[in-house]
Amino acid sequence: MFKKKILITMLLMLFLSLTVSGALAQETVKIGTLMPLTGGLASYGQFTRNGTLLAQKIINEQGGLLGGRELELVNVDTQTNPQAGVDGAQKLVSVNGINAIVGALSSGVTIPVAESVTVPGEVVLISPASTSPVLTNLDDDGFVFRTVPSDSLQGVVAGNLAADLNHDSLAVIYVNNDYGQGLNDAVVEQFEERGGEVTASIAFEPNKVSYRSELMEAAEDNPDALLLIAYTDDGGITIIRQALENGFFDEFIFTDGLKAPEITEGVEQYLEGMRGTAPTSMPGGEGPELFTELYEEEFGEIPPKPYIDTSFDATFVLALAIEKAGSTEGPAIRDAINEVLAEDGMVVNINEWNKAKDLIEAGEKIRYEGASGPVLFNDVGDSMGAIGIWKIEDGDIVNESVEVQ
Amino acid sequence: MVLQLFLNGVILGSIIALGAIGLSLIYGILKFGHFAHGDLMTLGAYFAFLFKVQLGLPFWLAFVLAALLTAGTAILLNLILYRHLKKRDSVIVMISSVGAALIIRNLVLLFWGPQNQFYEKAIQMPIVLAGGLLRIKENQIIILVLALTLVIAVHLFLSKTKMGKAMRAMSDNIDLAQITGINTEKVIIWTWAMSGVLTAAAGILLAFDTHLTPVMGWNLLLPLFAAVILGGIGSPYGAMFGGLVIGISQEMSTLIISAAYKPAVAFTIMILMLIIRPSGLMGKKV
Amino acid sequence: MTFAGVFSYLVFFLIFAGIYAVMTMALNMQRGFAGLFNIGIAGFWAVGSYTSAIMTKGPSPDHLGGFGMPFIIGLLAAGLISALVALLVGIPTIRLREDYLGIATIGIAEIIRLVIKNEAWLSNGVRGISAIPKPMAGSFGSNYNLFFLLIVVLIIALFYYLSEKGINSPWGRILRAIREDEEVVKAVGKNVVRYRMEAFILGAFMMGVGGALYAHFTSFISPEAFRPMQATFLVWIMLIIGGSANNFGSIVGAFLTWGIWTGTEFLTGMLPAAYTTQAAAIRVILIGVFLELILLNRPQGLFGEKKYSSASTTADG
Repeated sequence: MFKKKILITMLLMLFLSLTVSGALAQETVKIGTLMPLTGGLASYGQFTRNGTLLAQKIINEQGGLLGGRELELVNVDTQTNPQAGVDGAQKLVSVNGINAIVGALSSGVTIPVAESVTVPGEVVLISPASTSPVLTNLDDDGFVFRTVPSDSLQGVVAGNLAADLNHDSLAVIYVNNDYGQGLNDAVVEQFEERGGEVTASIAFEPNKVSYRSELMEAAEDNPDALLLIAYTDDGGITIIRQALENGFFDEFIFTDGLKAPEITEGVEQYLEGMRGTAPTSMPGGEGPELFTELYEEEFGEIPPKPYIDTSFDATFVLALAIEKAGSTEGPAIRDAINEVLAEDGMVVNINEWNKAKDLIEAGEKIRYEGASGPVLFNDVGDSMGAIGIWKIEDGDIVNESVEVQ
Repeated sequence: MVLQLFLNGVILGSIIALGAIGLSLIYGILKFGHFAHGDLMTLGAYFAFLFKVQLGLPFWLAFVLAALLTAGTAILLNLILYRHLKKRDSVIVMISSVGAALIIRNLVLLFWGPQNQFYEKAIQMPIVLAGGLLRIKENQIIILVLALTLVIAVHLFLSKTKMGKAMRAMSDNIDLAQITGINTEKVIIWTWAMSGVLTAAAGILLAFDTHLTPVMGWNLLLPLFAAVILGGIGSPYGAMFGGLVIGISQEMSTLIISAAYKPAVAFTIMILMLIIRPSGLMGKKV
Repeated sequence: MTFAGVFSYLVFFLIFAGIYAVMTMALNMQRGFAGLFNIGIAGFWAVGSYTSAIMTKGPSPDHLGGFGMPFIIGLLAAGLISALVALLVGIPTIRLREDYLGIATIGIAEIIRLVIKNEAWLSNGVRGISAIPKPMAGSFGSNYNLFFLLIVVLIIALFYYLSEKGINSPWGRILRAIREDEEVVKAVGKNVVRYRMEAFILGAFMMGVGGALYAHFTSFISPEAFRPMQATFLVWIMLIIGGSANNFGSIVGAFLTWGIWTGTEFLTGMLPAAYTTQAAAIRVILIGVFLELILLNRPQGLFGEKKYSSASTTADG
């Protein structure tokens, strides 16, 4: 029994030292990031994290913030899982003493983190990817922001696209999560408003081997086209292939999760000319081009995945707000975000951190031409955004046009 | 539509049947539910992916190599885990097999990543039969033929060879089998080997029809067990029949219920069977 | 980093580990004392979480209810509904071989997950239920988590006391005797199935309460939270590490395992960016190998089976 006690004490001490050693107090300004490096959204998290790292690099190369202090990013892996995400956020706040966080990606993690950690702890949270409409109405004291538009916006554009392509009837198949469902609701509403008929709207479980029954159900009333809301990795590609193989559909409309060249591999001839939607940068400004250039200099070719630019912007905006507030306290940062950003402010590009600091010192407002376009928040902390329409040409994805909110 | 669903069901059913035969024999001979069976299936499919796509070998060779490797893995699992735990209560062996399932699935994730993979990038257009009522791909015909061939091979093995007869005897009554001088250790190894081959075949055929994903086998675990229980634990012929019934009813169920609840069908059949006749259609009393 | 920060994380850590300790004690009731093989803990956890959320939230158009009941009623309802599910699963399976129960619990956990995902009128589907009220919210300011920890500790203490009491009672002795040798107990005319069923239901009740605690603590639940790895398998590892049939071992096993599980998170951060996606897989493989090693080399766990008296009804500490 005695030996066991020693063993347990040692294990406990080991555990404590592990959690504690991560944070030796230094005079840096810390921002936390909650990125999924493992789990369902791991293939996004890796790159969105690069986005935040790039912002950190630019800021530190141009003299840091709050009078020359370095920006330090502390990342915690959410494992795309709410338990782990909440635990990680609490670590950031309590152990690392962080008052501003970029993350998380999936709404299923962001919402519990906000409700149980960051809002009660007065910590500013900016999600670069959570598109759930729930976030809009969250009782958050203004501490929660996001740099992506709510998914209802894309749904409207996708619904319009289907109507503009002269489809009279449409079947929708969507991934069964909050992203898929939100988008589906908006698409159906908009398409019906335009006089079209939605013959079927079917949710699918990710990672099944066969979607033939879902497709059969969707094709039952011979709709003109299939609108597919899915990610490439969780079944989207399989649905496209099985729809073609079994002759269920030959007209498709896609959404942002499928805006990746992989979807055409082996089936180029069938998908030629199909269109899709995706959140994109607001027109005007050179943020997106500049971002691609800077990203590729640092990390190599930028993958066609979403939310890398919005992660960069979330980090940059937090730095702007901290500089403006002159403090790292949560409420001060929250208030500073909307004080510093203005549509008619002085233009700051993503590599002009020094200029931004000078403007803030001079008391000017800033129009931030972010990596994802100009970043502005409405009064509930949602980003204004734009949705682009893309098209498959010769097996490649090309952007066609942009619809503004 | 009904015809098409039936055909899809037969294809899925023959894949389940192949996996269930091995599961049933292990269950009968070693007296525990092998929860890593689904993941062995996944592993077999990915081994074939390794040989066919990554190393560019012909399909038949990849098939054979993958089946042998999976059989080897099954024997290895028995050697390092189950054999040592057998003396303890069967819950320990089962939880150990759940652990093995997790390890295998995550090894697949580690080496091949989470994204879906395909044996062939190009797609196949189906053959249209019965005036458009029935569509079948060439691959699906191959699957049916291969599955049938394997089932006949299993039948011949079980009924004509000494080893096969010993397996059936052990699954029937292990004590009696021991008295009659059967080398039980050897039979157990052969059982694992045969299950490994059949499971790999099931995985490969499933992936051949659709695609590879690291959870493909885990998702089929419940249908596999349902097939085994339906057919009667320890009865390889029962498992074949059970597999077909589960496959067909799962596909046909979409006529009545939403496709989202398809996974619940196998479970419901299994529970009904447990209430009505726990020993299964072709099994002995439990 | 400040002392206050470390302290507040420690409180947070203890709450999470404490909720797992409730789950582990519940599994111990089923597996440790009655030998039952439940690998669908995620299902009972989800039922408890959703029941309490629906009971305690104010009326909402998004899901069934809410009924605006007090926290304590939410906890009780969570336990009762979870116990009811156990009863329904148990009726066809518990009199059969133990592995049937295992398969059935996997199945029921899967079906519960499907229902929660697809029946939006009941559970708001994949969007989950948010703003689940915390008991006495707003009363303790920044010390609120300390208060919640107190609730968790009280529940652990209560369950500990009751299961020790139960297991040392004549009821518990028969239960343990069944696990040792079923035939003997049958021979003296005891209804073996009934005792097993009671243990299964009691365990499920505790799991439901644990699930309710989780829901109130995080204030948000969605189907994502009830995955087999985090909700079922981790609890099994906790039980096996702590030692089956030992309540104290179960609690320590839960705290240790959760410590190791969250503690190894830093490993992910240390890997180069290109390998981070593999970190989760490596972690699960390590945990799996760890489990197999314990099963092979120290199947009794850290503490081993507790020697419960078979003669007296008093707890022997």
